[in-house]
Amino acid sequence: MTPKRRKHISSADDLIVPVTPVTSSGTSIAPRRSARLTPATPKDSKMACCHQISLNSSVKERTAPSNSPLSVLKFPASPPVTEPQKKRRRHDNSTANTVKRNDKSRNAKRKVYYRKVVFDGVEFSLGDDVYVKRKEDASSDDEDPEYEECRVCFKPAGTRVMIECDECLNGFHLKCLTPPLKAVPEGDWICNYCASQKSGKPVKFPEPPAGKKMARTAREKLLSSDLWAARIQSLWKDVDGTYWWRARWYIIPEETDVGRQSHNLRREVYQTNDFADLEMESIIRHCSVMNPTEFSNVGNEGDDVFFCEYEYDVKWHSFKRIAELDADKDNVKGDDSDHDWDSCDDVDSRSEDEIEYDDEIKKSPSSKAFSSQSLAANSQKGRIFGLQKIGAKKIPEHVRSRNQTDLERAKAALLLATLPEFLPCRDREMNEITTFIKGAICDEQCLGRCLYIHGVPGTGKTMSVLSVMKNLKSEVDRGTLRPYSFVEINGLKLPSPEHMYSVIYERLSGHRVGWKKALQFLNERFCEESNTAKDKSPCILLIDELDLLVTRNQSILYNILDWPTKPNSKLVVIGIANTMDLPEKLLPRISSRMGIQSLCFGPYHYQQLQEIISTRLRGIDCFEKLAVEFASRKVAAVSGDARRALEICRRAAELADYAHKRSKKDLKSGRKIIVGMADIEAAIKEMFQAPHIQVIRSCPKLSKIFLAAMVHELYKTGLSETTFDKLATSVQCFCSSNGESFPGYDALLKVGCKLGECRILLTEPGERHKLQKLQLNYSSDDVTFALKECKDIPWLAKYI
Amino acid sequence: MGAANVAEEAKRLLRTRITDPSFVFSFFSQNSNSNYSNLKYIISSSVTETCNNSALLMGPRGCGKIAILELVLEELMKEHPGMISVIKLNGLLHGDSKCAMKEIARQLCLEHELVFSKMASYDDNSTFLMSMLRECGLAHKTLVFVLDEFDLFTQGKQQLLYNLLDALQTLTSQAVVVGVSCRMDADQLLEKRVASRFSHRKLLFLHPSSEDLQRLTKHILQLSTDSGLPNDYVATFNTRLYKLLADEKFKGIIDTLAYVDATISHLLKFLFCAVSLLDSKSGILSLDIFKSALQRVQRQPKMESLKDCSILELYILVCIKRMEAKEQDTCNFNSMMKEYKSIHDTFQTSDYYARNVCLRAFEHLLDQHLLSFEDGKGHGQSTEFRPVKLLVTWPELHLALKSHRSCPTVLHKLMMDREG
Repeated sequence: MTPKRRKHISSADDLIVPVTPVTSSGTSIAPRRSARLTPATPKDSKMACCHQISLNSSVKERTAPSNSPLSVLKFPASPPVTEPQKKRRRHDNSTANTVKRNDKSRNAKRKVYYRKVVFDGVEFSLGDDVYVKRKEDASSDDEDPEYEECRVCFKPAGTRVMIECDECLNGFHLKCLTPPLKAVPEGDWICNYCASQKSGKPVKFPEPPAGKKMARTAREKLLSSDLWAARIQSLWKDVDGTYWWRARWYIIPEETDVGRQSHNLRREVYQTNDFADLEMESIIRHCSVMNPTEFSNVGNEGDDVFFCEYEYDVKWHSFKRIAELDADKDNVKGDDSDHDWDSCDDVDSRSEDEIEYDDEIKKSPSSKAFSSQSLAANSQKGRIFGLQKIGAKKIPEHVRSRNQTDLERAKAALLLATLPEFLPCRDREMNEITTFIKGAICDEQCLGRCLYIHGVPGTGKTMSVLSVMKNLKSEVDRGTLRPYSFVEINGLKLPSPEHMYSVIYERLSGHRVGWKKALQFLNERFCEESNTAKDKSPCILLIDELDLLVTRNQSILYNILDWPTKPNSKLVVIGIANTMDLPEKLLPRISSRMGIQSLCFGPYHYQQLQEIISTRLRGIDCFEKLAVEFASRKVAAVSGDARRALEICRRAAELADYAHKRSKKDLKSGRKIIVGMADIEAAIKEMFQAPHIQVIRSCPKLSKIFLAAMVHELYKTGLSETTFDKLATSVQCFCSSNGESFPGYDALLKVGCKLGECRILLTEPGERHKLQKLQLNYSSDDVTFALKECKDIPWLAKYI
Repeated sequence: MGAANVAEEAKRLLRTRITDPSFVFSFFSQNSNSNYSNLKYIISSSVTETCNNSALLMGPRGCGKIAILELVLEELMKEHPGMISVIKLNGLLHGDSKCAMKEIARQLCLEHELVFSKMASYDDNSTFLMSMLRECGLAHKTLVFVLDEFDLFTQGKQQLLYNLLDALQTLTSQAVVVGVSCRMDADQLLEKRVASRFSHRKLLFLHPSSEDLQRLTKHILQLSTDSGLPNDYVATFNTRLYKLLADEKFKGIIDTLAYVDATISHLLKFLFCAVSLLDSKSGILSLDIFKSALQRVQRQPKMESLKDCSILELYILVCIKRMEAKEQDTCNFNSMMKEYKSIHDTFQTSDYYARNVCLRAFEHLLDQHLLSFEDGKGHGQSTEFRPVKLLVTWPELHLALKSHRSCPTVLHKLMMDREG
């Protein structure tokens, strides 16, 4: 196990094939893939097997018959444990070595966790993706070619360019193709063999030259389920000195419950929530599993690249998008820098840091959730059980179609949820916030301070603060700023104002307590005179919708704003609300603590709105410039709310798209759709126009007469309020003098109540009958306008 | 199959059609520019393009807002099986945000076969909702929140709406919030910060035009040949129906119906009534059926109860009317009795009843809501002393007296007395 010893044993070949392909185990745990491949569920494996036959039949014909992966696949039992002599010797050595080392270190008999392990001269660290041996008799084709060969001439790529077929994933030299290609074409490319196979002709791939066996690359083996891929979750040295790792399996589409779906990419794998503890020997070598963004940027990185967008739940057979694949990686990398790697002087030996993970297994949420099926999903002190059940049984086709139209991309970009990379038009405010926070936390003293931010909704208040915090966080990571803790609270998301204490306390300490207790702890933390709190980091508290926290005696606001004034609080409070005059509304003792620092986010001008929209639409050319200007001018005139402006544009794009999809004729012509003024106009109309005029116009006749009588009564008396009694008389008078039938008082009462329901009128309940008071809810001009050109009852015009 | 049987079968078929909203409103789904296709586009774009949306359906009651929404959701669930889950809330039941959050959690648990706990606090439920939104977004599942009586959710702090609409602004969720309201000013009721998060996509459901009503009638009543009924019956039924629909008189009936109330639900009520009147021997629609159905639909409850009043009750009503006409400010049982007595004295009517009998008649009128106590005054007093008001208009009372079976002439005279 020591590197020198290891080098002694291994031959030069071992550098290419780093691990001798024998699975052995000193302990009783045999490496196996849990759940899925145990005989309890033989269906899956059979299915996978069938797929494999059909997909790789052409390859199979030519592979050496001695290698029979099929027979093994059919009996997916855990592989027998073998213990060759060589291994045993190595184990002895390693134990001796560890003991020696442990003499120096603190504890003798414990698992030691590592971030990085160098094994067989290859460094493995957490989060790496590796190939794993599937069965131990795979030694027959252990000549694992690192480099792919051309499928025609069977020579490695060398200096010549190779192209990969998107269907069969075989590599070809550009020259070897018929006709030869000059350069790699853009987009998808399918080789001649696949193309003719598709059209139904029998194809014969060129035979390998005599004496040369056709070797399969690790990628081919993986995709035909002769190998496994897994991600390293944790690495540790066991008590007896053997090195172990915890694998998080990847699965190929054929092995899932639904099998390969038509939209699956050839190189696609799924991450599973299936784990296994394996010995280091089982690792073959690195591969790389990438998320969609990484994968799309891949240029020429070899054959061991896989694509992974979804997680597959082996228990529920369901799919879910992976949310934090890249976030995880960032974390691991960030942590690396904190520890020194020079603890081992020998470069060849396993570099190990003595940090012990408490228990990695405990952290992984899915394994925990498995054990607790019966718990309620919605009330376990913030932990939610059973969420693994949610997941699509099949990945729907439509989400994977990658060719979005311009309009669809525009709609996605205009979504409120899509955060732009940078926020235009709020530079001044963001600078102010940054200087405020920096001023507050950079001081040695860290004096507590308050900042009050106000402005109408949709002017980017919260977003600006959050983006400032993000920038500051990166500064902390770079080490130019002292670390701080950041707590974000929204007043409207709390069940009651008092709850705020427990939320703050939970964010700061991680414990959940009732609000009274939390208040006590927080008081201790912020008010304590003693200097024990020297080491504690400053805390930035962001309270959104601050006005919601105003209670009757305003004690909560008092507490929050009082803490920063305490000498050792190290608390910075940023309050956000819509009203300008919140400090004036508060008790004097509170508003004096709030201080005078306030920042106003004014409504956006039309130029600003225009800039916001056009930054989002950068690179997507489907909006008329005038249309965007029109929308932003309109919104700026009404509210200056950026959300409104974005929504109008999105709605306009939707309307254009809808109109386009409806007229199927244009679909073929491929004409580019541009969102024009008409669409924007329609969207604005929908958003701002009150619907009552349209409703009045579509009313039944009697309702119109009723409304006309209301207006008539209003003009006659000058009072806005009238009673049903008077109204009924004038309606009857209208009807009789114009030859309409009068349907009776009960029907009339019903009509009045219906209008009241729509809030065209304000009415008392109908049981008051004759005494019912009525009033127009809209101005009489609106009603007159709506009724003026009424076709069915032309005589109405003379009464209004 | 006998003729009577066939007619019964047809009746049954027509009745099921009328009561089945998805059949009635499938009429509107054919039109390409209808609310149906607009709504379908909005919701399906959220399903296929993984984005969040919110919309508000507005329109008078009985115009088919919910029915259209149900139809759209049903259709989309067929198109994307297992990808859409619907959470239905009603403002009348869940106007309180705590209660609403609990109901959301309950329905989510039910839908996804999770264990639901009644004990969970608001806090727990809202964190549950947020993580469900996220998980469902990751699994490409769309959550559709249907908020019926949307205006009632706007009472109070509007916490629920804020939370839901704010959650729609995170990228990973995939949800649609559909509000349904009959109030024209429903979107004005939103608080500014909630309104800013709401997308203001409004779909307006209007009263159908009279042509639409005609066509809808045809759509509902027309029998198709594959309905299992004998072909010759279907043929005669349909020819008769087409003849009716072309008839001006029939159009007149529909117009009279739409004159007062042109909603779809009103038309359905009318058609149901007509179909129920269908003669089970011939099983053919006729104009008379529709005429009598119209009468049944347009009833005047107050007038009818006036017609059913006893003579004494009419006397009481007329007395109170006379006192109101004299502009006496208050009027209660005792002052009414005085008036009754004076009438009796002047006209020497044959029937004079004792005070306790009058009191019973008076109370009966109160029960029928032809009279009511004036509000706010004299609580705790006994019936005799509390001031009352007439709840029928004078012309109505006059009409009732005229059409009453056995109204004494003196009452007519008394009624006319003060009117001039």
